[in-house]
Amino acid sequence: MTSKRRKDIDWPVPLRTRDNALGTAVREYAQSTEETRGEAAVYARVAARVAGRDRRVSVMAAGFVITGVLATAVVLLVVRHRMTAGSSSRVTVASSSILPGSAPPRPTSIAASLPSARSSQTAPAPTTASIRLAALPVSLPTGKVTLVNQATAVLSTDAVVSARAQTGGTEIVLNKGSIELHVLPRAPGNDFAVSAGLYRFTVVGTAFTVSQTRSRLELVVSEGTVAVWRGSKRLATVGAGAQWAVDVNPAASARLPASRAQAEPSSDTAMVAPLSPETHALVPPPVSAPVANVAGATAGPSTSSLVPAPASASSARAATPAAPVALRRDCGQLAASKRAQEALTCYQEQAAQNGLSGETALYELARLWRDSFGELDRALAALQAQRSRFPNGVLRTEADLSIIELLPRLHRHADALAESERFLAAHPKAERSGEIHLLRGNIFREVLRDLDHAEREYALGAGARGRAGDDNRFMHAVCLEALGRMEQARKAYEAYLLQSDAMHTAEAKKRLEQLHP
Amino acid sequence: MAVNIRLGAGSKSEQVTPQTATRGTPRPLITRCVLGEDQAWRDLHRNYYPVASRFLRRMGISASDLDDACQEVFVQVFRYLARFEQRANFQTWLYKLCLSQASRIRRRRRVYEVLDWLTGRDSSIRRDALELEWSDSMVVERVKQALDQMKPAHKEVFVLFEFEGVEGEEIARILRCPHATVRRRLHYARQEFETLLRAETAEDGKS
Repeated sequence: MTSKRRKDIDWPVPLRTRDNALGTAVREYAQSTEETRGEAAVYARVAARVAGRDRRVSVMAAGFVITGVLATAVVLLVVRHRMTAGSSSRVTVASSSILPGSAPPRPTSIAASLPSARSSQTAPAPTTASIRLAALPVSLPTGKVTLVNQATAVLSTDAVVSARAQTGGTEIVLNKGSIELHVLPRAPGNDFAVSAGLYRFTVVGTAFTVSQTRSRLELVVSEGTVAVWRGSKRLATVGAGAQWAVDVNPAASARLPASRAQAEPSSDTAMVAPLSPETHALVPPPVSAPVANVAGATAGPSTSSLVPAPASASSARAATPAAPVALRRDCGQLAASKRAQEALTCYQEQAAQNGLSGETALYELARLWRDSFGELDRALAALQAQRSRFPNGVLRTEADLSIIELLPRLHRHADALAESERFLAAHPKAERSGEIHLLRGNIFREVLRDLDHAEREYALGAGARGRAGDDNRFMHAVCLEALGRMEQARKAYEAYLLQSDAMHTAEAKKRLEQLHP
Repeated sequence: MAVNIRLGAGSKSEQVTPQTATRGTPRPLITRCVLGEDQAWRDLHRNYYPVASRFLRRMGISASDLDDACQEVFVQVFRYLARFEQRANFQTWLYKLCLSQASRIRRRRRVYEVLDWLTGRDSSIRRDALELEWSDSMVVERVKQALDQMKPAHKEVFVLFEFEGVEGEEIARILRCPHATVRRRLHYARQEFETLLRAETAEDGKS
């Protein structure tokens, strides 16, 4: 049965034998990926590994490494999940985070649902809980809560709030309901922020109330100054006595609300004027008055020791949240899906950042300008900016190589020679030195008509592997012939033809025959 | 250089002894290797390293991983050659080892991608940046892109048949699957390759 099936199978003719575009592509790729290496140095490494390493040790080591990686991944996943927990997620109260002797939280009230802005009320007789925040988020009980050394908070009965403290600041996440906060003065760089949906409020020693319902998010500031953020964009700075509100549509939370123009001043320093009580059913509180929450119910008195600090430019910058992870990944996805214009905008925004994000964004920007838009000048400018901003960056070598490649395309051959010379001096054993020597040889030969220098460059690159090495060896022979050094040229051609994988065999044979008397 | 090759106790390779091996002349390279001839190992490496390297590269192993991948394959060859039964062609066995290695690297890459996702780094950017290959022509680049996007099962058959020139029956032995499966995969692989190549060409034309 099996043999019959074997006979039945009609194997097709390989694509590489076809005389069409597909066949050409396959042949060209096969040719370009031919490999000729098998040197003694590589053999020595293999032999050393076989001789020197015990397999059991390697298996155990691999096992430990895999276990470690998996454990780290799980921990990171959990941390990430908690960091990005949205409005649907609930965080349970960690009992260890409650100080001994303090009143326990009321989990039943935390789980309360069906929010309504107008029905939300603060607890009539709030139980005071004292909570010391830690790196892991904890749910805050409703009523009055003291966040040790941080703030005092009053949560409405329907509030769902979690909080955590870590290096760099304290983060409160308001999923539902209302929270009124009196924040203690804080050291620079130690921020206090409240996140509600897509918005974020950063404060420096102030008293304010944030309320969130299904359709509306409101901020009322009684003391100090609060900055309003959405992602990495600063929307407004709200001063004492003012309030800020935005309509939120939970069905399409990713979209901006209809009242964006009102709620999001274009200027970073713009203050939001108090909204009229008739329009929003909110009473703007006086500066010295106790803070009123959404329902207008009484709240804890304003503590006289609280010193409101103005939100200076530096503190605002320090409070700027890092660009979301999703944003950074989106740029690559946009580029991969060939949405070049959007990817360009994305990378331009990201390029303003520091560190690896900014560096890779600049590098990717250059690639986009070069490959997708054909704007070589702009690509060069981006690469030079990358090199200037990140002189010791991880992509420095790539930037150097890209610049070397771009300059001849911009007809800046002298600059290309100078740039490549610097690169070769700094990286004499660079993996791509063969290609650089080939490029330099071509410039000397084709543009500057300087065969002496061209021959020298080709000779230097003759030892390279792959196609660049092959081209260098062939062009070296050609240069020798053009310089009239016939005997050397003949030997060079003969040596070249001895290679089993020479790509210019026909041309080399023809030239060699002409050299013979 | 001394290479310590441990012959597995009780393995079938023990049938090869100096007495049996010297009957015919010249002795096959594999037999000489099993007998521990240093020069034979060197010859084996020199002859087959290009095969492994070329195949792994065509299977999508990046330039930065290629040397390590080849080294790993030959470490396996050196360790387990004594157990190689010599019923099949050595190159067939080498292809099998390369496919396993390529699969391991794919899995490792996925782990790295997950870690990159967790730490917020963009792996595609990093990978692209590290694999700057501006000597490749447009056609080669398009073929490479198309191969990268092919399904692994299709790519294995396609690369072996179209680029390595391995016959269908041999591929079936390498992949340990029926001939008809190889034929079917080849059919779909060709369709996929052509579609991807056309898409790449169209995209390049637009940009």
